Amino acid sequence: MKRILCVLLLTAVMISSCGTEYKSDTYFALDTFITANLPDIGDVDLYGYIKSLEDTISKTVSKSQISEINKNISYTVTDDIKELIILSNDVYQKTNGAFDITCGAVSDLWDFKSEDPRIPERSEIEKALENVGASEISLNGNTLTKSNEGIMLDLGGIGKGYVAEKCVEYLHEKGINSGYLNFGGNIAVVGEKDNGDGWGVALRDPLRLNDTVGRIIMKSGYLSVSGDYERCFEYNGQKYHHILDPKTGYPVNNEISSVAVLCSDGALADALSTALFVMGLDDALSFYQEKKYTFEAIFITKSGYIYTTEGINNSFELTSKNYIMK
Amino acid sequence: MGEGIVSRKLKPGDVLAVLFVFALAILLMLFLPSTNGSVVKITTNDNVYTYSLYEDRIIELSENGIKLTVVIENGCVYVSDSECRDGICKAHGKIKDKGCIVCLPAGVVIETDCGEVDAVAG
Amino acid sequence: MQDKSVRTIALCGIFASLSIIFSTFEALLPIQAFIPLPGIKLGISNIVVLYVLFYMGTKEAFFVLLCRCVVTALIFGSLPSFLFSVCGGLLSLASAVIIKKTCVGSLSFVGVSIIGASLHNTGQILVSCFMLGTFSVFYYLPPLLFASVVCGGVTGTILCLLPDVTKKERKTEI
Repeated sequence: MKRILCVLLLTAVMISSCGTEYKSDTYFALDTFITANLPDIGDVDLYGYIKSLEDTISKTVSKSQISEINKNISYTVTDDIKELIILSNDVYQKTNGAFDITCGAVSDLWDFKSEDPRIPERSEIEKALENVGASEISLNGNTLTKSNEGIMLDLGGIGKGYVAEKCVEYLHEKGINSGYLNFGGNIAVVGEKDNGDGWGVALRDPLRLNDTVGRIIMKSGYLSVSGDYERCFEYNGQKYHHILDPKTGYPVNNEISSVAVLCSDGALADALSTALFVMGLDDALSFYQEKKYTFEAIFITKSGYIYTTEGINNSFELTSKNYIMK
Repeated sequence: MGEGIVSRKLKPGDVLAVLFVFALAILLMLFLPSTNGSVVKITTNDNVYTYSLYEDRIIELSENGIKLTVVIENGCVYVSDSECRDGICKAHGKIKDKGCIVCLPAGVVIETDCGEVDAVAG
Repeated sequence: MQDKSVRTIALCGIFASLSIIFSTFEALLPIQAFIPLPGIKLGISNIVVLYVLFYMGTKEAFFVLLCRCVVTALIFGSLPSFLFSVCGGLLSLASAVIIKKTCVGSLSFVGVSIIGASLHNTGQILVSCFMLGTFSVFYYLPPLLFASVVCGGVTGTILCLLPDVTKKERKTEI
C-alpha cells in the first residue's frame, strides 16, 4: 500500500514538472554578458543579430554609425538610429539634462575598463564639458549635425535597452514568444512562461553582490537597472563608478545605490534608469509624479531603504532582511 | 471460516509493522522539501496570495464562512485568530521556513516559499 | 442456517451501534487541544471494526464501518469530514482485509491496528491534499504517523485482550 502511495506521489511530481524546455545560452557583446533563456530557437542567429546591432551603435567599433558621427561634423544615419536619437533628445528635455548621449568627450576621460584607471584632472573635465550638451546636436531628416567637432556621442546609457528591444522584436518576428533575455543585468521579457506564469526576477543587492533584495514577476516588458557597483574602480579609498553626471562630469554621488526601471519600452527603460540615478531620489520621485512617461521604478538607497513607485503596489516582494520598505 | 484470525499475542511481524511506519515517517521528513522561504503563500479556495515574509502585515481572511487572521511579524507567520472549531491552525504557532499551517474547515493553507527566481537583474 | 444469519444481522446491528457510540465519544474528546494535528484521534471505534473483521467476516466489517461513517457524519459532520472518515476508514480496513487473507500468522492485533491507523491518517491527508489543492499538507503526516503507532498500539492491545463473543456457546450436555 505504502509503496503504491510513494509511486503515485513521485509520478505526480514528475508530471507537474513537464513543460517546454527552455535553453539558456550566454554570449558576450556590448561589453557585457548576455544570457538568452528561450525555448528552442532552431537556427535563429540571435548572437549574429546582437553583434550586427553592436556594430551599429558601439563607439568602440570603428565602423559603427556612432563612431562615424564622432569622427565627422555631420553624418546621415539609418532610421533606427534616428529614432534612437529622437528618443534620447526627448528624455534629455524631459529630465532637464539628466540623461545626455553627448557625454562622450567626458566619459572618454574616465577609462573604467583600463587596468590602470586614473582620475582626470579637473581642467580636463571642464574642457570636455564644453563639448557636452544634447542641445548641441540637431537632426534634419536622417542627417545628424553637431555644432562642433568635439562633441562625442556615447550611447552607454541607452544602448543595452535599445538592443534588448530590437532583439525581442526580432524574436517575435521569428515566432518566438516566450522566454527572456538578460543583458548584463537588464531584463527583457520575450514572453511569459508556457504555463502563463511570469518570470521571477530578483533585484541584486548593491552592497552584497551575491545576494538579492527582492523579487518581481514579469510577464512582459523591460527592467533596466543602473547601479553604482556595475563598473567602478577605487582610488585612494574612494569609489568611482561609471554613471557620470552630464553637468559636472564626475560620477553621480547621491543617496541612490541602484535604481530599477520597469517600462514597456526597452530603450526608454535604460535611458530612464540612467536619468533617475543622476537625478537623485527626491527629484526622481517628483519626475515620476509628473507622468511625462509611463514607467515604474524601484530605488535602493545607501542607507538601506527601498522605495517603489505607486504602480508597483505589492508586486515587489522584499526578500532581504537588510532592507526596509518605504 | 477458511480465513484466519490474527494472533492475540505479540508477534515479530508487529515489530516490523512499527518499523515500517517509522521508516515511512522518517523518509517523509527527509524528503519533504524545506522551503527556505522569503515569501508567504496563502492558498484559499479561489486564490493564492503572496506576501513578503519580511514586511510586517496583518491579513484578514474569510473563507467558507470562517474568519481567520494571519499575522506576518519579524520574519514569522502565524494565525492569531480563527473562528474554526478545532483551532489547530492557531495552536500550530509560528512558522518560519518550514512546514505549513492548515485550517481544514476554512480550506486555507499558509506556507512559506522561496519565490522562484529565474533571473537576477542589476 | 437461519439461526446463523439472524444472529449475524443482530450482532452487526449491535456492533455498528457500538462503533457509532465510540465514534461519538471520540468526537467529543478535545484531543486537538493537546495534540494539534489535523485528523488525530484515538481510533477506539476501529476496535469494533477490526473485532468484527476477524471474528465475524469481511462483509460484516465493511457494514459496520460504513454505518459508523454515515451516521457520525450525519450527527456531527459535513461532507468534507465524511470524505475524510470514509477514505481513511476504507484504506485502513482494506489493509486489514489483505492481512487477514495473506499473512495472518505473522501479526497480532497490535500490528494490524498500527498499520490500519497509519493508513487511516495517510488516507485523510491524501483527501485533504486533494481538497486543498496542495501537497503541503503532507508535512503533517510524519507526526501523525508517529501518533498512529501509539494509538494503533493501544487499540491493538485492547483487541488482544478481548474474548470472542460472537460464537454461540455450545453447552455440553453432562
